[in-house]
Amino acid sequence: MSDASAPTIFVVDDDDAVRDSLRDLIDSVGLDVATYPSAHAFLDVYDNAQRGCLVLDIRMPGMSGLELQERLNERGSSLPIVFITGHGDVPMAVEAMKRGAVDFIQKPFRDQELLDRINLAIEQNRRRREAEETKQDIAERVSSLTRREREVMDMVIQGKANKVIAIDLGLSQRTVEVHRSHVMDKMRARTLAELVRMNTTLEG
Amino acid sequence: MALQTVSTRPSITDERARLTEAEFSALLDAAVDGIVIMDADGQIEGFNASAERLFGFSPEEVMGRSVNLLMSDPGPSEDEGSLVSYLRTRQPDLVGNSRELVARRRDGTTFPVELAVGEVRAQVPRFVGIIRDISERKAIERRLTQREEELRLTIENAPIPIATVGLDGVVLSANPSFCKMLGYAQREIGRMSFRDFTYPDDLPLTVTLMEEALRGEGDTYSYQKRYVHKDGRVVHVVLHNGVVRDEQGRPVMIVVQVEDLTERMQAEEEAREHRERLAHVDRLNVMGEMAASIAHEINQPLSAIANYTNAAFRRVSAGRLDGEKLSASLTKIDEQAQRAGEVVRRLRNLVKKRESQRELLDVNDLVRESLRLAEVDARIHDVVVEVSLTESPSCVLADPVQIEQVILNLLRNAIDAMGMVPKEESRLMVRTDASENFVEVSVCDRGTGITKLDEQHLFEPFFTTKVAGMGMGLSISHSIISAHGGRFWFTRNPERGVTFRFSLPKATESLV
Repeated sequence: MSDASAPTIFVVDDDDAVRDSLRDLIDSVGLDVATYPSAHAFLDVYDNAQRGCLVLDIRMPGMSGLELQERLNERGSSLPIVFITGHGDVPMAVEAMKRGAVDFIQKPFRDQELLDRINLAIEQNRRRREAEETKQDIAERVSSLTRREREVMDMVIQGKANKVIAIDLGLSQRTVEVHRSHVMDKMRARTLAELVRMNTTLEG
Repeated sequence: MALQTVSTRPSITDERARLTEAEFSALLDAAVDGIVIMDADGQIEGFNASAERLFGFSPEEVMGRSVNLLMSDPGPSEDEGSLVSYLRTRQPDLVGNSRELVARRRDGTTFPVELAVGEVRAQVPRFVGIIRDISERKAIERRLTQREEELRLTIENAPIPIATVGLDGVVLSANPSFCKMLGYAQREIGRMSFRDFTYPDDLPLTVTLMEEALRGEGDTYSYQKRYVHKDGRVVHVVLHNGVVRDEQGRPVMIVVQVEDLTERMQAEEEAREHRERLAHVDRLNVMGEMAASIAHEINQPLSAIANYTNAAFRRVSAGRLDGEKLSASLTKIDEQAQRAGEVVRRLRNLVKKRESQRELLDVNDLVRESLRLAEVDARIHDVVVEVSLTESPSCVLADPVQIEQVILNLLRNAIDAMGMVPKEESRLMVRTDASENFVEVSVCDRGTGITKLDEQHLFEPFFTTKVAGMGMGLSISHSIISAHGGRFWFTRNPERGVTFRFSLPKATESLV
C-alpha cells in the first residue's frame, strides 16, 4: 500500500472463496485491489492517507463490519465503505448508512452493480480528497498573511470600501491599498469574487 | 397266623403230590394279597393274614358267613356283578381272570380291589379268591386322569400356539391357537408336516436345529423363524421347542410352543413409523429455523462463481485472458460449484423422507458433518464453537441422519440459549468421549440455563421456551437415542449454562 495517486479497493471478507473472487472481479476491470480475511487484519495495516474505498462484509466472526466502520470513524478515516449484506441484514445496512457508509449491496448481486458502487465510492473519495487539499492550500496562504493584511482581507470580504477600511483601522487609504494588493498576491486571487470563494471554501 | 380251614385230610398216597398243610398254611400267610377260600355258595372257609389286615375282620368273625360281607352293596345274590352269582354260574371269564370290585371293611368303609378267583376242582368244589387292594393304583390313575385333563385344557385354551411334531415332521397335535395362527382347521393341520407351512428360506435352519436337538445336543431350543399362513402371508414367530424322549432316551416327538411376533412387530413398526414421521417434521422444522443460515451458506459459493465468471468475461472482452488464467478461473468455479452441491446434498439428506437404517459409523464423523451445517448459524449468532473429538475408537451402529439430527438439535439449542449472552462469552463446546462400552457426545453452552420448572417438561413433545419453537427437538432427540439403545440427559454446568449429553452403545470390535 502506498499513497500513489491510483486508488486501491480494500476487500474485507472472511470467506476465502468470496474474497478471492472479489479480488479477481475487481482486478479484471483494472483496479488495484487488496484483500483481508478479517477486520483486524485490515486495521493492522490501515492508515488515513490511503485512498480508494472499502468493500466490507457486514457479518464476520470476531469484529463485524459495523464494528470496523466504527473504529475507522474513530480514527477520522474518510475511506468510503460499500457494505455487502446478506438476505435479512437490511436493518444492519441502514445502521451502517446512518454512520456514513456510502452504499450497501445485497447478495446475490450483479457484478456491474458492485463495480458501479465501487466507482462511485472512488469518485466520492477523490472529490473529497481534492476538496480537502484545496482547503489546506487556502489555509496555508491565509497563514502567510501578516496580522494587518488579515484584518484588511476580512474587511474586504465583508464588502467594505478602501476608504471605510482606512477610517476603521486608522490608516491612510494609500496604506490600505498596498495591504490589499499584498493580500491578493499572497492569496493568488485575481478578483474579489475569487477571494470571497476561497473564504467560503475555508469556512465550509 | 395259620390259615383257618376246615381241613380234609389228604390221603397218604397223595402225600407227595400235595402240599402239606403246613406248607400250604405258610404259603397263604406269606401272600401279600388277601386270600379268601369259599365254597360254591360263597360261604367263607378260609381267611389269610393279609385278608385280615385288608378287611379288619378276624377269621373267626367271617368263617361260615357269605363272602358278600366283604363286598360293598352286594344287593340280591342273583344280581349280575355280585361275586356270589359269579361263583354260582361259574362263569369262566371270572375264574382265572381278575376283575375290579369295591370291597367293604369291617368298619363299613369301602375300597377298590382287584379280585382273581381260582377254582379248586374236587368232589366239593371250592374257590380261592385273591384280593388285592388297588386304592393306591386307583388314586394314581385318578390323579393321572386329572393331570391329563388339566394338561389338555391348558393346551386347548392356551393363547399360545402349541403343537407336537413327530420325528418325520408330521404334526401330531395342534391346539386351536396354533391352527388359528396358520389359518388351518385342526383336521387339515393333522395331515401336514412343518415343511408345508415353514417359510421356504427358513427350512434349512429349521431342519438343522431339529437334527441337532434330536442328536441330543440340548433338549430344548429356541429360535426365530417365519411361517406361512394359509392365505399366503408371512407369520414371524419365535419357537420354543422341547424334545420328548422315551426311557431309552430315544427322541419320540417335539413339543413346539410359538411366540407369535406379528402383533409385536406391527406395534414396533407403527412406533418406528410414527417416530420417523415426527423426526422428519422436526428436521423440516430445523431447516426452517436455519433458512437464513442455509441461504447464506449457498449464496457464498454462488457469489464466488458469479464473480469468477464475470471477471473472466471482462478479461475476454478486453482481450486480456490467457489460457492459464482461464483454466485457473474454471478450476475455482468448479470448486465452488462442488461446495454449493455439498450444502445441497447435506440438506437433502436431512430433509429426505426415508426409512431408518443402521450403519456402522464413526461418531466423530457425524459430529463433523453436523458442525458443517450448524457453523453458519453459529457464525451469524457470533458463537464460537470449540470441538474436542476423542481419538479412541468411537464406532456405533446407528442411523446417520437421525443421529446428526440429534446433534444438530443440540447445537441449535445451545446457540439459541446464548442469544442474550455477551458476544465475548458466547462459546459452545462439543465433545466426544469413548468409554469401554459407550460413545458419548456432549454439547456444553454458556447460556441462560434451564429452570427447575422447565426441567420437568423438557423431554415432552411440544414443550418449548422459544418464541418460534415447536418444542419437538428434545422430545424427538430423546426418542431417537432411546431407539438406538442409548441414553439422553443433561447436566447443569458449575458456572453457567447446561451440557446436553447422549451416549450410544459402542459397536463391538467384531463388527468393526
